[in-house]
Amino acid sequence: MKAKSAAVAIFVLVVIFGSVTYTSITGQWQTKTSKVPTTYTEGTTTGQYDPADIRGSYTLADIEKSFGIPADELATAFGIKDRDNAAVQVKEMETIYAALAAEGKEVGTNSVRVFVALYKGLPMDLTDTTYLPRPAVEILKTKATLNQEQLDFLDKHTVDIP
Amino acid sequence: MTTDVDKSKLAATKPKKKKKARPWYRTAVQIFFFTLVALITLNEALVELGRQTIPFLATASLHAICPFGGVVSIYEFVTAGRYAQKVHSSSFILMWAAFILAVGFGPLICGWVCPLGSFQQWIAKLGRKFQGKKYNHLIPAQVDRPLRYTRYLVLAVVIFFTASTRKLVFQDYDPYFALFNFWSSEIAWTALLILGVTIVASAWVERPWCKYLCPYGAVLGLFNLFRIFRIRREESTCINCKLCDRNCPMNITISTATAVKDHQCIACMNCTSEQFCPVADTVDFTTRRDAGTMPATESTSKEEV
Ligand code: SF4
Ligand code: SF4
Repeated sequence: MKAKSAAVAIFVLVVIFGSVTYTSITGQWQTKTSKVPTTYTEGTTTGQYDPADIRGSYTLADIEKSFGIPADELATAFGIKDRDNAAVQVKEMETIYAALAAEGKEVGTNSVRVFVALYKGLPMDLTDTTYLPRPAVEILKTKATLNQEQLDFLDKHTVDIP
Repeated sequence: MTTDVDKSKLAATKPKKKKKARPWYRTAVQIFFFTLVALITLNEALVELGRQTIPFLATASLHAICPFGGVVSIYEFVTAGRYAQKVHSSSFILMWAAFILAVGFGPLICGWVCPLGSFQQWIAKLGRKFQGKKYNHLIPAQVDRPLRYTRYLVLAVVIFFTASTRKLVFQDYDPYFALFNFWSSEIAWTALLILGVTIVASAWVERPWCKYLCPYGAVLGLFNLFRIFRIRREESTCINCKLCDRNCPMNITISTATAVKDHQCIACMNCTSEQFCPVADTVDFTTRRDAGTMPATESTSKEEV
């Protein structure tokens, strides 16, 4: 069988737009995150929301809804002032703390994930390049139940708000 | 070297030499997807600025409509049931659509859809205009051949770092992202630099990013080894003019092969009798030769590139 370019052009359009149309009808086509994190599928936390799935596009209100941590407390932890706290997006941390990133101390989406996980006592990998602002560390030390390894991590990964 | 037989074939076909009209379908599809991606990106920017969006057009980030996002998320999806940062189900769906196209015809995404590929190709038109036959022959073959495998190294590095960090690490080096987001604060200088180098290099080499570095092109190139429709050349009618070779953007030698299996072929169809090959039914996009209109002469030469 021989294919001419007109047939190939039709094939390209049909496969691409056919897939988009079909999956839009079945509800599988998503170009935005649902703002609801995935849940743990194993261990004692099965069924609970996994902070590792928090995305940069989540607002503090989205986190409040899924994890029950008030948006105002999250804003205090990450040094956000004079803003509509509920509407602040997690990815904004990267801009606020951009100067620290240049020193290899990253305060960004992963810092929010770590804060939420430790606050709620949920499992989370603690990566060496992730830092938390001092108010976040103080809130965790007051409110969360932390083991020695987590306390050591926080002591070594605290930064002052610029 | 042109033999006497070739010369006589050449002479016999001379009257056919007048310029034939080439089909424009591929160009139309390329312009369509370039414009669509540009408008979707613009719409997304308008949303972020809180402005009125373009009616009847989707808003989506460039990551959401890039099938390569699906490829780099496979590990995360299999191990944790979620996608890498900034990737959504739409990328996964487009990844599968691209695979379906590739099983049938090879990297149609590269040759027909990818806006960065089209952009480099349009710059190549200028390069050809100024450099003529020298264009796209800058790098000696001995150096060029092994360099074409660099993109597999890039692919391995991108997949490894995306899997281990869950971040879309490639964004900071992606010229495709830079092309449509050069104005945004999200763009890294490294991506802009790579885009700039790609643009400049395209004036001498056709599709330099695709040939040497694109990790997605590397994935799709693997389908050339087993795709259903293949570029096949009929030896008995070939006049050895080498127009197919000269017009192949990826420098594949079609003029001595019976079938193209090269991992670099982008299924652009430039080499076919519909495009630059001047003899009808000599280079075609076919399934098995004996199943098509070409005479069954595969046994005369088994060479594949
Ligand atoms: S090789 Fe990469 S940049 Fe080139 S056309 Fe294919 S996907 Fe696009
Ligand atoms: S000219 Fe032919 S061989 Fe070369 S990339 Fe296009 S389809 Fe493949």
